[in-house]
Amino acid sequence: MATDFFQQQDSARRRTVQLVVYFVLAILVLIALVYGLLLVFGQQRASEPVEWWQPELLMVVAAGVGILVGGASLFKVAQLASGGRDVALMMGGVEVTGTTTDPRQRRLLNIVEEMAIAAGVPVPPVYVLDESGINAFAAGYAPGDAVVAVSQGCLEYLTRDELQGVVAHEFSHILNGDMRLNVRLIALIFGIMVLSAVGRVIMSLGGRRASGSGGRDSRGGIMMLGLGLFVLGLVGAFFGRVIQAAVSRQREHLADASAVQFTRNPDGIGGALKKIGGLKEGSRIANPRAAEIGHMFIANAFAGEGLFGLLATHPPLIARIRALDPQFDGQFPEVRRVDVDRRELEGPRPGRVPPGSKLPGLPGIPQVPQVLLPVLGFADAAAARVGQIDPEAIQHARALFASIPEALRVAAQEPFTARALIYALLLDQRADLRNRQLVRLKGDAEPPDLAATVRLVAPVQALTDNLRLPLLDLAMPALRQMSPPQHQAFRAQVEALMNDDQRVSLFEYTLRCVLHRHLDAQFLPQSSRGPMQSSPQKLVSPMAKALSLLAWEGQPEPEKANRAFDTGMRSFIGDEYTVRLTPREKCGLAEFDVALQTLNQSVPTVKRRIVVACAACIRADKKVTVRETELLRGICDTLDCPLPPLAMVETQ
Amino acid sequence: MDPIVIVLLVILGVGLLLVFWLIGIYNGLVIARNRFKNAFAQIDVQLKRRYDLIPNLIEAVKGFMAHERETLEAVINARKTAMAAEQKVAANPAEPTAMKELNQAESLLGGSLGRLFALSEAYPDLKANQNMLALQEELTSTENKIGFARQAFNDFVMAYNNQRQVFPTVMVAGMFNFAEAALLEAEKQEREAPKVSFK
Repeated sequence: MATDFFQQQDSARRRTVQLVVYFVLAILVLIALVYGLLLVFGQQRASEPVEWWQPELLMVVAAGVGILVGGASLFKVAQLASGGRDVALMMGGVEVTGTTTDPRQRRLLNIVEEMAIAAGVPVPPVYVLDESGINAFAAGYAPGDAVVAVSQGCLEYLTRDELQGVVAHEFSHILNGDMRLNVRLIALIFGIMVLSAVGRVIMSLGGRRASGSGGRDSRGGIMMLGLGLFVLGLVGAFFGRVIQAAVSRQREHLADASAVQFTRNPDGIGGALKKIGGLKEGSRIANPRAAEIGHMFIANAFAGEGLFGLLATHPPLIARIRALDPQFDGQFPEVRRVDVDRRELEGPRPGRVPPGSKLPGLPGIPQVPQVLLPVLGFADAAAARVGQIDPEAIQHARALFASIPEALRVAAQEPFTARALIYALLLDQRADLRNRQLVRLKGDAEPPDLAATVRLVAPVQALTDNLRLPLLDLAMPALRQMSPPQHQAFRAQVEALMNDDQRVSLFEYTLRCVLHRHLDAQFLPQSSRGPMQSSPQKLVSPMAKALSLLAWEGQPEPEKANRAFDTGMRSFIGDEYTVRLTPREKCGLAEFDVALQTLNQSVPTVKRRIVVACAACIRADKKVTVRETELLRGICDTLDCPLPPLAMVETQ
Repeated sequence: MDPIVIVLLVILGVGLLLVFWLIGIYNGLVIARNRFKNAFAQIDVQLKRRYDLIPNLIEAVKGFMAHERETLEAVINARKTAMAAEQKVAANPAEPTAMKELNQAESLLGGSLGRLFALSEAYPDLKANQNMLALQEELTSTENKIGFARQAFNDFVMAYNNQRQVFPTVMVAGMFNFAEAALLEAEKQEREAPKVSFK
């Protein structure tokens, strides 16, 4: 099984396309069937034979079914696609903030923070559901607007390793693009289900209407029509569910496998699944709204597997556990509350299974492709690490985390200070420019904001370069807690601070990419994306713009810059290209930004080429600076490909 | 084809879409309400933090201001009332009467703290006390955080109130008991107090 990030994204996308095709087919079949049903119904009531070809009737039926099913599906998509936060809020989730004093919640946050930094994604908001069962879900449309929610039962019954396994499972859903797939699946089935709802209403209405006036005949006819629609809807939804459940079960297996791969510890997720089996409440979610998002959960949220498991959204628990632990005898353990051990808060233990060895019953751990050319080797390795986590990366994340000064870590936990932290990150190293920025901040911002910023200047300036982006990732959940008006003021302030020094530095640009990308997704209405580009040939011009800037950034001399540009271009498109390195003075960040936006409109396989090309260009001089890696991170972030910090360290 | 049946089907279809629409509105209200409830948790953490700091403050000033007992007791009592009110609001931030109580209790606490700090100006030893300075600094930063979190909370409450007031949401809100929520006001006194001197 392929575990490459881009392949997973691609397969999720292809599945979505397939589903839409199936869905259109299903609607056509439904229209035909409803038309037939109405004809039979008319035949029954009329004394003479009815005409079999009635275009008007077909039109009415097509319009009715189309509007109804399509409308219902769109409604559902709109409801579920509004971002992970709304889904969590709808479920009554309570956000766990960085300021929490509850040791169990703190432990959960630590696990999520480590995992996010290890994967190179901003820390997602974490929610706790007031449910005593053990369950969890990830929601959101893209890695950028994802949230993780776990039940209170998870916090109480699971050990740190098990909780880490559950979080890793959810991260796999986030990184593999499963959530978007899920939302569409749910919506399509909901649309078909509506038809049977109509049938049910007709039946009850027909029954009531006929009891007053009208003969037995018309009553029977209407009842028949209702029954027909009801059955059609149910049958349609049944097949929809079978497809959906099959897809969903496969993604669950994949997420289990990924959870083991991320933590290299089958006992983590395996232990959590065993506890679900052993707990009286199991994985039940009492909230009635859970029905709408049942497929997002880590384990079945409702009782019963339904029709021989055909409709089960998750594989049987025992099968999932056996895949992780072949020795499992089917005896679930007795589950007790777990105390938070002080030492557990210290952090993850190294994986139980040595790196590289095959895990029992699981697809092999993907090998980082061995490429002969050193330059492309680096680039491919970087691309292969996109969207991947492993225990080393988690360890590395912990090390990064530990080397961030306490004062900054605390500041990142709370919206008021997190904002000041971003301001401080944007202040220039040069004293004169910094003073100019501070004077402006004094005029625009409230006095407490300025005071908080000034307090953070010294520790931020002392920070080593490689810690700045992880710090930004850590601050993200706090920044997301702002209200829309507060975000607006913050955004304006960030822009002003950035432009104060007349020149946007690369770090500022990267910071802006990450900030805007993830905060705007939450606060500003998002326009829908255009068509996806699947041919690299059509992206040569934006790619050349992006590579030019990268080349000049690494190499001040034209000759070397040219070589870097060529290395990147050749890796992207092969030897046949006509574009040349853009002259230095024409390489602005504004054009670069536009080029990146265009490049983002491409399918995952093309994105992989883009990432590889950028990495190859950076690596052309066999030297990778922190600034270049930051820029690569910004590029990857814009392309929705999370790049782990470790990917860059290893190769230096 | 019987026209009655067609009309019936059309009405049904429209009715169904209407039901979805209403469900959407209802869910929107639930989300908006949960959003400001979550925003209150932010304030709550900081309020609790401040309540925890106050006994330390009293402990620190007691030795110096032994004969200002009245002021000290006023602070202690105000803290007690505010804590009780805060617990009520934390249980349900959507309850306007509890919020009003908290508003009053908080302004009382802010006022009494303000008096305490004003009085402390008269004690040079106390002003120079390291412990006191650290506490003052801590209280100020907590105060700032409360201010920012309160702004966010009030923004979310306003958004919710506005959302529930417009037609047709107001009908859904009425049907399902989505009551108007109260803002957490910042009393003037409280905004000023406690004073910080960076000197």
